Amino acid sequence: MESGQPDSSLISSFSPGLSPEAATAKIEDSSLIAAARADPAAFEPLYQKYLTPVYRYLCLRTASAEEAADLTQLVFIKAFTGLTTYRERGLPFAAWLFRIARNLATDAYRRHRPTVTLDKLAGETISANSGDPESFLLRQEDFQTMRELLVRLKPENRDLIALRFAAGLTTKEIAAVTGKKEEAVKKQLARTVRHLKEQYREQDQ
Amino acid sequence: MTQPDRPSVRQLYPELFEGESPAGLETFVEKLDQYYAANQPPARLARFNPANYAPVITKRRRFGGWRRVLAAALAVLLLALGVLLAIPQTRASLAGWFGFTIEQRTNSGFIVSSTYAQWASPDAKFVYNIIGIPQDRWNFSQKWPAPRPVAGSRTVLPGNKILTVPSYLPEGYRWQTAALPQTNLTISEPHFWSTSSRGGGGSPSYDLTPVNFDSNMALYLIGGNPANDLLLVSQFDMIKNDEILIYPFVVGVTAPANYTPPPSPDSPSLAPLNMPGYQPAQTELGLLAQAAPGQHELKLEIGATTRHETTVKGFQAFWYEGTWDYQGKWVTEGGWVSLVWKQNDILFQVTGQNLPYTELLKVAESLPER
Repeated sequence: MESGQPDSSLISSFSPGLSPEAATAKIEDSSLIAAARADPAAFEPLYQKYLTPVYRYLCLRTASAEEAADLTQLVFIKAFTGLTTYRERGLPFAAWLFRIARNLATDAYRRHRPTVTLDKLAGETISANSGDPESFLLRQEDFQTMRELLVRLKPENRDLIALRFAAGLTTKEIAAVTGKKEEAVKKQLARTVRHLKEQYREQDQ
Repeated sequence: MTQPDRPSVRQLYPELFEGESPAGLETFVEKLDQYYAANQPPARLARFNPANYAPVITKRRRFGGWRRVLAAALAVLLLALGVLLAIPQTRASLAGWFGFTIEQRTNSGFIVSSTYAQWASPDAKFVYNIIGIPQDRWNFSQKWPAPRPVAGSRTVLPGNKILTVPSYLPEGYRWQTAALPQTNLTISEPHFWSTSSRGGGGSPSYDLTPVNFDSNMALYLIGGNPANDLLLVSQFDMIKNDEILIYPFVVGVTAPANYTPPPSPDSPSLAPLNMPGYQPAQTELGLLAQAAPGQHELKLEIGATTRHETTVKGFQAFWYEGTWDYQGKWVTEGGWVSLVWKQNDILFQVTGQNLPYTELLKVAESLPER
């Protein structure tokens, strides 16, 4: 096999039970972690890989973009300094990382309970990315509706949705982060999304 | 709305589309996906400079080398200590090395008293208190389910009585049980009361003053060897028993095979050993208490024998040969030797059968502090 792109089918055969994507991610994480342990400068690829998911997740768990950015930095500092103690043992790196993020967000929330809504951030950042005023307004309206619906969710369900959509974790990884069974996570996610969809439809009419 | 370089939401979130999907679900999930994807990290997070944190990571030490050996040695040490503490004998010995005794709290299940009798003389001037224990204590205690007293231990018994167990035992001996007379047990009829049979040197004289007797004053620690020679440590509580004279006795009783019950219940009889329901072979530890008006502290009466002065732990003590029998006679046969001393409101008596005085002294000296 040529070096560079890992052979998904071969990986899958060596890692029964994992999807080719998950197996690739796992192998990539393992090699990135090993490299970072050997040379701290090699932590950068891990950082780049998880920066956006961690930041997006924290945006939904904090009161401001500033706080989300600060907490993101803290998450990676903790991960960086704790990398030598991390042992996979059934807990994927992503799940380990998001446990750190989740705990930090919870601590931050306890320290100063926010008085503004947790889900206010999406609309703020979109303006910078949108060139078309009409589509911007439409999306702004959509996001406003979505934001209102998400705020009404139970914190537990909102966290689940954030881990799946913002952090991009698989249901298995979410199960590892939250300590639930994967099947239960799947069912809860499906139920919550369908409930949100119904609410969205009613608001839209 | 799906971006050309991105998988569809059905591929990204397959668990949401399991089973029958309601109309518009895919569109809604796309909106949700876009909503969350809108957040982008600020520019200040673009790079992570690990060099700033390198000192933190290099300070961490791996658990290995001599640390691992030290941890293993500590684990072995703790395990050994745990085993030693789990065995009562070694636990008591360890405690002894460090100069303290181990206190054990127990319910009455620890106490053995196979039979019990207490009664007053017909004129109410004497009180008897007897505990019967099997004569073949060695075999009996092997089968006895209750725990045996631990040498060197200190145990709090019902009624807050404190049983201290000497750490020294003569060769071949062991502590077998402890007995605490309790007034709530069955009160038997007097079974060897006989006014006519009392006699001999030092036998109690009659007194018409009623006995104010604390029936819970005695506590017996019983030991022995395979030949069933008795080793007895008696503790008599001196508090509230000032005006009392006590006559401790040990009696071996054996029911004869040709026993016939007495003709009538009113007849003076020495028949307890022969009464139906009694164990055929037992030893009785008895105490006769007599009122002694005006006496300032509890006294123990002995018969005509030589009283040898000595000390136990610095306290004045004496030892003598002989014991009372069940008829109130002083007997010097049987190899009975006793050592008596008073300490902290307790009158101690260590009695041995076929044991020299020096052995009794060692037992007494090894008694833990209360």
